[in-house]
Amino acid sequence: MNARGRMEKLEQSLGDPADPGSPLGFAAILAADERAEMFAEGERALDAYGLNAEFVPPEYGGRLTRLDDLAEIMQSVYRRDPCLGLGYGTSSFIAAVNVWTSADDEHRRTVAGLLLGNRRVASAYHELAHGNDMGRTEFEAMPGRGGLVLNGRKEVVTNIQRADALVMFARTDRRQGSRSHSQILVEKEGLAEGGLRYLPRFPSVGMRGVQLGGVEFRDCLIPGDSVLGTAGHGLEVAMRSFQITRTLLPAMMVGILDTGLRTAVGHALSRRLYGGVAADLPEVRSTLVGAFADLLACDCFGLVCARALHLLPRQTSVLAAAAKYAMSGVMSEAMHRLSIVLGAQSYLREGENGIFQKLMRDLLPVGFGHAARAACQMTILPQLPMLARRSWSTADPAPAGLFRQDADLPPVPFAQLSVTAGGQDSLSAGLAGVLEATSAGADRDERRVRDLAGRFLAELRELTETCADLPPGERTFAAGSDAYDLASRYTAVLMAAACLETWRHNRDDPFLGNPAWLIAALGRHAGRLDGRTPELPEDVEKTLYAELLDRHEKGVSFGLSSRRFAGGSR
Amino acid sequence: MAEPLTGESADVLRTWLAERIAVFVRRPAAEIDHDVPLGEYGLDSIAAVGFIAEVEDHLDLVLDPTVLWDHPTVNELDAVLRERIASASDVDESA
Repeated sequence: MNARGRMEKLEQSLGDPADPGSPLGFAAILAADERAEMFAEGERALDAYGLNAEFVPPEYGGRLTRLDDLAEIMQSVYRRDPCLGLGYGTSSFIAAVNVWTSADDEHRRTVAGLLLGNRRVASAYHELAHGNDMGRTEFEAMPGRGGLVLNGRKEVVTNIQRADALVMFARTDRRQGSRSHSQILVEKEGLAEGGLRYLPRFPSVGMRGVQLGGVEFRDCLIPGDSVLGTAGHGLEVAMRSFQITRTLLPAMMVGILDTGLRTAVGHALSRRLYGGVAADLPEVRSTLVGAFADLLACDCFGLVCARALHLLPRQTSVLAAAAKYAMSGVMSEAMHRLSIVLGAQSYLREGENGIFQKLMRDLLPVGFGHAARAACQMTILPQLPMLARRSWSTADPAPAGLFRQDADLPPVPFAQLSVTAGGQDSLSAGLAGVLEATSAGADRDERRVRDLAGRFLAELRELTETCADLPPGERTFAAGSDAYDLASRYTAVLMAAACLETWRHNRDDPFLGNPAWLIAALGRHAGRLDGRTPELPEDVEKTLYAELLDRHEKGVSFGLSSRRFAGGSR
Repeated sequence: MAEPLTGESADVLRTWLAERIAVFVRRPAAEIDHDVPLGEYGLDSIAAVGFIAEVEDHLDLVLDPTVLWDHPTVNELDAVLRERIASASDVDESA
């Protein structure tokens, strides 16, 4: 079955979440969340669908062929219950990507077998004392007693207790340096009694159902062949494989914003106020259209970066960090503004709009989970001078396939992902391409597109000047806020380029080819960059508002692909 | 771009490396022992990215930052960079 068919099948098997009588709907999801439990009915439905197969490459029996499709499939899970998204899905996906990136055939078969049998594999990196500073990891796996001996703790790790196997980030060499860590595969079956002890669950603000736990190993012996790939290469494997997950997690979480917006539209259309409905008020409309435009920009950037993992794998160290940084910021802000439309309804834990407060809490980790926003800036910052000198004025534009959903993509090239982008950036080169493809004498909308492209190209030129000679002290974690800001501004340029190029390469598409969405998305984006509240042209806002209501009425996604969801409007 | 690296100037690269590292870790170059892993001076994986980019530009070579992870002292890095320079100029001559 092709990916569109699978998306349809998953939607149908999970049903209309807004249907109050549905055993898989928001009412049941909220009840599980109140109990701080994973949503058991939902997990059974995902077992029946075989969601884990989406995380396994075809040569190992799964369906992981395209990362852009995977993002969309997972949006169907996240738009209902982000706890299922993380606690059933991405926790195992993160572990699996480590395995596909570095492990030998036997380890791959073991992990594929577990996942295809609906089992869980947890990804155990985190230690409270070190956060994203992976080089300081203390948990160790040292040679001894004819195998590897495990000692130390992992904390705040999803599914660590209920998983059948763990991919653990461990120190395998006591010397300092970047070749002192490895990923190890720990299968729980057969572990010696008393070698490990689980720590109490960590209660959390959002993702309440997700089982965040910890583990402490004491002199626990595991087989000597448990290291994934080359011993000592763990930091490199993490930096490479996380490019996939840093891109995909926020791209999947666009589903959360979709339901947030759907809930707000439903409320605004039904809430009677001053002799009309809330949706009649210009300010409410502007907020809804703004969130729609932000969602489209995020979906666009996420899907483009997901395809970049296939087509430009040497450049994704920067793109993945940019995707995580930019999307998390835009989505969190959009969700906050929607909460103002909902008012007190955003605060109630049950009833028709009760799902909103849960989604708002569940969205929070997009800013710190898996990689904090500051860690994303720090991935980009030391690369800025290289990018400025080697690419920003001279690079060739990216291939058209990066921007088209119907493009042929090669299999995920796990082995080609690199620790840095080496100063290569083909995405921002598209800004100049859009200027060339549009004419100043064209119709009004094309002139607007051209102006926006010019705005972001000017930003890139400014960044080029500032970044080319950024002093060494401003390229490390000790850099000042101005330097961190350069990284943020660059992510804004990349997001704009992704949107502009998507429009340019899809002019045959009835929705994407009409520049209204692009003018709205980039108008808002430029406003953020300039630190002002953006106002969209009246005709653009009107077009998008009509589109928003139409999609809401028909139960169609608010994302780029306008695909049909299960169930109609609320 | 790069200084000649033979004869009397054989130490030029080593000295340049130590000076640039000193800037990244904010210490006098004289304090950088050429046989001590640079991580011990605070050259972490993030600073390594910026530093290796400078080495690439200075020597006109394409390097992966992991070269520093595999050769973490000034002397080890000096040795591996000389090999790369030699093989790069072989390629130039045969081209």
